[in-house]
Amino acid sequence: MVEFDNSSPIASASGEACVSSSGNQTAAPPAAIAKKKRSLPGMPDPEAEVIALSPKTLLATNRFVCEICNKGFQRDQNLQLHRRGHNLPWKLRQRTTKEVRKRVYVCPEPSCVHHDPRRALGDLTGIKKHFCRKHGEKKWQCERCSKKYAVQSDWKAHMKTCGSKEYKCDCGTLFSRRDSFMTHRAFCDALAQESVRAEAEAETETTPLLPSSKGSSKEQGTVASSSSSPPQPPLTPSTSVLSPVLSIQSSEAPENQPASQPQRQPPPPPPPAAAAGAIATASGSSASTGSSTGVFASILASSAPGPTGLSQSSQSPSSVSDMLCPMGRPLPEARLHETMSHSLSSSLFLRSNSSSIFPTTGHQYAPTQQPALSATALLQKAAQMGATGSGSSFLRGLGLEFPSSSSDNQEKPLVTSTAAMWNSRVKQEINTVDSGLGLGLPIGGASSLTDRMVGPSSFYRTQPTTLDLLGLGLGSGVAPTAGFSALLTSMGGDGSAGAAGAPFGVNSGAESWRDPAEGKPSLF
Amino acid sequence: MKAELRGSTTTISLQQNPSLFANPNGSLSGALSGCLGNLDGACIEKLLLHCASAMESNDATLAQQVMWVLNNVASAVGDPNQRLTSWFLRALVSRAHGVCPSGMNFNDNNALLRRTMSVTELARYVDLIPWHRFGFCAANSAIFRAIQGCSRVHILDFSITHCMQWPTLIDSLAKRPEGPPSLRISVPTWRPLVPPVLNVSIEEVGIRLANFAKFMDVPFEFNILISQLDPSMLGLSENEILVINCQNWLRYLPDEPREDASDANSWRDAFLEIIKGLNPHIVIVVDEDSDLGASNLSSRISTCFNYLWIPFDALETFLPKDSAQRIEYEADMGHKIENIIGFEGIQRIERLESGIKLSQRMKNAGFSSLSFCEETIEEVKSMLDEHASGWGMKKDEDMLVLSWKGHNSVYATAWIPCESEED
Repeated sequence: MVEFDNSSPIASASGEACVSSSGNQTAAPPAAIAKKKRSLPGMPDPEAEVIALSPKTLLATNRFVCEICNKGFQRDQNLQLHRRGHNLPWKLRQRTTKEVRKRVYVCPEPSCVHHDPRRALGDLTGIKKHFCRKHGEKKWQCERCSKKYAVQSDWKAHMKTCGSKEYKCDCGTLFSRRDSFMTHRAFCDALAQESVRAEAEAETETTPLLPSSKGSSKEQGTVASSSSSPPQPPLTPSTSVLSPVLSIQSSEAPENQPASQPQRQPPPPPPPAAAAGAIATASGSSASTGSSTGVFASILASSAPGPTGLSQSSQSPSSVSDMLCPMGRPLPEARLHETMSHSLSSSLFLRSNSSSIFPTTGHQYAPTQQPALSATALLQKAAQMGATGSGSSFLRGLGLEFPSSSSDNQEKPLVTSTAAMWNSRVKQEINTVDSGLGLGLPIGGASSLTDRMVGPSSFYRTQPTTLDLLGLGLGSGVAPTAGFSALLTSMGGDGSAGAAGAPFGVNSGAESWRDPAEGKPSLF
Repeated sequence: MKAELRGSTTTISLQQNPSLFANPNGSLSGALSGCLGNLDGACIEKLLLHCASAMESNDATLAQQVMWVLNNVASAVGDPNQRLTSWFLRALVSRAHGVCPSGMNFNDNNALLRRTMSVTELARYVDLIPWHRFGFCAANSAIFRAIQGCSRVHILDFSITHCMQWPTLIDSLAKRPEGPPSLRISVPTWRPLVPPVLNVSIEEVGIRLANFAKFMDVPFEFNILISQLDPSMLGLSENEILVINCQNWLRYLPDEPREDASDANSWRDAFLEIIKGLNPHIVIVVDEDSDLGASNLSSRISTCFNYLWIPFDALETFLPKDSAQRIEYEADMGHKIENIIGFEGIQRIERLESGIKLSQRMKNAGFSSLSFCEETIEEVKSMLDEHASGWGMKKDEDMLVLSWKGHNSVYATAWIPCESEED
């Protein structure tokens, strides 16, 4: 059920159920209401009143029963209205005139995430449903697919859609919702293949290509297959309507462009892109390669500043026909290259299973895997860990070395000694780190940490290529702002390319944040 | 450095770091005080904060201890709290490494590209929970209505989901009573290096989308922009109207005042200025409803922990513990957590801003908000109905907000430049 609220985020005030004192209820009396006033960080309304109801209250459904016909109601108001029908005296409780405070409800089950007031739910119906669903018995079952539900309205909602509407893609996948079906369909291989077939059957002429650079319908050749299947033969040029988009797959750097596209990549520095106009020449599929070609300047710059940053090719309209020629040829090598590196990376990513917190090989860290350890137990363990000195090996595994000194060495200020230790650990021994680093870090964490071990230290020395978070095209030695500065210049109306300084003083900023140990030793 | 508690620790720390002694919480016992019994979300948050503050005050011992405790809690296949903890711990470790040069790169290209997916996998990914679909649905519905009667439409698409939004719009345009318009979609070459990452290029995405449009008989063109973003460069034709779609985008534009700009505008504001100058017919802004751009680490940790439990909880409700899809989705959120917690300065690219703040920013930039009409609200509502209970929607002035169990998750807004010539 959708809790659609047209007004402010105050939940529907059906709190009467918990404070009701209608004479007709036969069920258990309402639970004691614990009104706790606390500041609740993260909550939109720290002034909200936190209400904790008992399981009985939450599970009770029809607590208000008509004395005449024994019909049950969830709310007193509904019962009163029903009583009118029996010509019984009825009375609707008026909303109190005092200021309405937002109420939030917590779950009585201590292990539940919603037991925490900061995870409280905003309305009574919600908490009742939650309790029922999560901690209640699943009494309702779908006949068709045998899914079980604890809340009747959930079951009803499911019954509406189960098996009723089904969308089937040509590839065989079934969808219960049209939007997901449509989205899949648009990108599915099955559609691509179907259009190949349609084109082959049609044998019609392609529409003549108009030389204008705007809004003309240009036909695009290849339908590239997904990387998992072998590359399909290029389609005849009458397949789809596409403006001159180059199917250029750049690998790591613009210089690595496959030979089939030599004319698309003028060697840097590229000419001003003013002539590019509406012609979209995408050189460097930065998204998937994450190479240095992904630059902000691509949106907003008028010129490409740094040599390594952009693989921009600005074309004049006359080169439309030039563009079309290479389009017919897929670039299996480049794609394959990407695919391989991706599959390698993804296999690296997926190989580590974090089913155990600690690795089975390698380091022996505290051999517990009990997430439900009480705080006190952990405290004691941590103390033990410290006492035996094994704790330092824990973080050494992380690469955070501590001086394994005894308490005699304590006169040295803590900071400089450890900083010195850390500074000397520029070359991380790969051997000390196992997959997972004994941290049970999640899938991505484990392998990527291992990945990262292999790379050079980047933060410290300025190796900007590895800091390409923004795809700024950090070339060697160039300030990691190639794209940004271009953006700057264009936005500032400055025609000069790449002259602008780093936004936020990247280099200086980075250094000020990550302070080298000289002068100001800081551990963290 | 021995991590002895009580007794001797106090003595040692007194020698080392007098401030530790002064601070009653500067010890593991302090960190865990009040957490007796189960380590629930509140305790975990406390531990995270303690770890961060230990790091900031150069207390290696305490940081180590707290990390050890957190590590015991963390599990990528446990309950949502444990999963969250594992990602947060990773972020803290990343942060520690940032200052300690040890040969490790975090959040770098190689690590990011470790996991890519195919287009069909991405199509499934964006529909795992309505997190993205909400924004798509609200935006497409609003766009559909805004372009009624127009015969040529150009959409500038700034988003990170590789055009997953458009098939449903193309579908609805195909069925338009007056026939579909000529549709152009342009995307920038640049995209922040964040998940989800495709294993094919944006050109390929464009090809498939064009193929689909052709199949639906919608005249279509796909552009990849590398040139300057101004009207002449965009090549807007006579009666072509411009739609600008920003989904999960503005947060990647830094918000600090630029040192070199004369008016000290931030990148984010400068971008808004530029798109305003393009005189768009409608601007859609969708993003995650949380303020995570603060410079204060502790507040970021708290806010992030108290916000990202929402999608983790939703995933827990719908997918089994060992679901690979779920773990991947969570890993992507972990990537975000790592960036928010583990990095500073320019490397911290995730600078989320809540809907309320964004709305103010848009108004300051000279936009006025457009209301979502009743039909749009109904469409979003019925879309959410098709997903299981728990997902809801709120309307906050002109803003639509996706809620999970009542907690705000994603907001959607629509804007138009003030004093626009067009109606």
